[in-house]
Amino acid sequence: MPSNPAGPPVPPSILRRRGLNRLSAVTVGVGVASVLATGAIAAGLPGSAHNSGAGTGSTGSAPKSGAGSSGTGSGSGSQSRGTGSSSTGSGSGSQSSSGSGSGSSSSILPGATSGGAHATSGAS
Amino acid sequence: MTATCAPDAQPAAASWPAIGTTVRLAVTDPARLAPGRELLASYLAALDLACSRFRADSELAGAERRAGTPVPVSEVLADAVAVALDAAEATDGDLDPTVATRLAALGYDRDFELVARDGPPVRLTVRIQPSWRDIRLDRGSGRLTVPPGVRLDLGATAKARAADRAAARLAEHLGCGVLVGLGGDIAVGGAPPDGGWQVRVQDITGHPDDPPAGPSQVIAMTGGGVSSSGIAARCWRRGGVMLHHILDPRTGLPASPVWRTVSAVADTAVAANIASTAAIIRGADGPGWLESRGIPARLVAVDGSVRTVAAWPRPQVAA
Repeated sequence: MPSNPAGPPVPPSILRRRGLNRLSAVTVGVGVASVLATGAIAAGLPGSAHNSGAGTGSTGSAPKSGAGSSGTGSGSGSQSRGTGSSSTGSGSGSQSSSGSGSGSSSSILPGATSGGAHATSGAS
Repeated sequence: MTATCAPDAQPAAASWPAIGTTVRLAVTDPARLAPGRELLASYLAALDLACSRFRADSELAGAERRAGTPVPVSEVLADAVAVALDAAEATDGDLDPTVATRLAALGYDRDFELVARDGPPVRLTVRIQPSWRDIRLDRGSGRLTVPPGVRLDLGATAKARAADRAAARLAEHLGCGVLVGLGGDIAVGGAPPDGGWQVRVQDITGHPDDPPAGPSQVIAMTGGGVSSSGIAARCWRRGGVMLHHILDPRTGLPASPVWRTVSAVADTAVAANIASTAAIIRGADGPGWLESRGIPARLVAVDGSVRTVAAWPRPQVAA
């Protein structure tokens, strides 16, 4: 059972964890804070699925990708800066402003100022 | 997993059109690009056949034709519907897959490339309509029941989910670092290149070699996903009124134009997509909603001003 950054295990955190696992089942090698961010998104997810038949509310339809470790692994290693990325230290330790006590996201850093991007993300 | 990454090679990348958007695949081992592209194309073809709302032969269309009846569906479609329902619940209905019915009524009823960019006014009918809560998905047996009169748009989350799944699977199969971009939804898997994957967020997804039209920022990602949602793309006009594809399910109309682009990061592209799209719909309440959840995000207002929340990195200043 992973530790709960928000305090002792209580029903809401269990629900959050279940939702987190559901949404992050295919993720590999992510930073702690980004996991927490997703957990925040998933906080509204109940443990049992809406409109499902009895007993079908878990991750029955989640992909069997074999990864899925980020959810369960995030609690304890938590304060590490994540993925061993090449953090430049430029602000990553001071940018957190979330109310959940999460650290900064180690999976996102300032990008390079020179050289091309590998991809773009915008409306499509 | 047997292959290893070439330690000093620069990532190789390819782009091509598929599933109504632009696909981007980058790998840290250039020798793995060709097989990776083949695998990804095959996966996306299966996704399209399962989930497209524009194909009469899609599984989704078949389930809609048998509305009110539990229909066994593939794991791909069941997963896409499950994610869409989870997204709806996580956002209190901001993301509702049943908006497809209203999108079609507004003119977006076919592949966007085929949608007339201008046209006469549309007649809208005000009525109580089934919502995402009326969709039945038995996740155990994989049976889907679409309510009568409802069409589903899984595009809001299905592409992001596909990026997540593809990135994880390709990283495993290819044995190297992988970036998969499907439109604005990008997921990375495996070991990233030195310095992380460089992703430029901007108003409209484009080729990395093309300069962005508006404000942009390059971020480096070592894991998880980034997604951008916006109203600058997929716009059309009816009766002189500009419409866009992100509908507020509460009104059935395009969300009020407060933010033209929202980019968010999370541990999956689909979680980032949920956050960015919900922020567009929530308008002025979007930043607070994101901030309260600690979701790093960058919001570009319609006037071009940029606001960031949570742990979104500050832009690097060139020396």
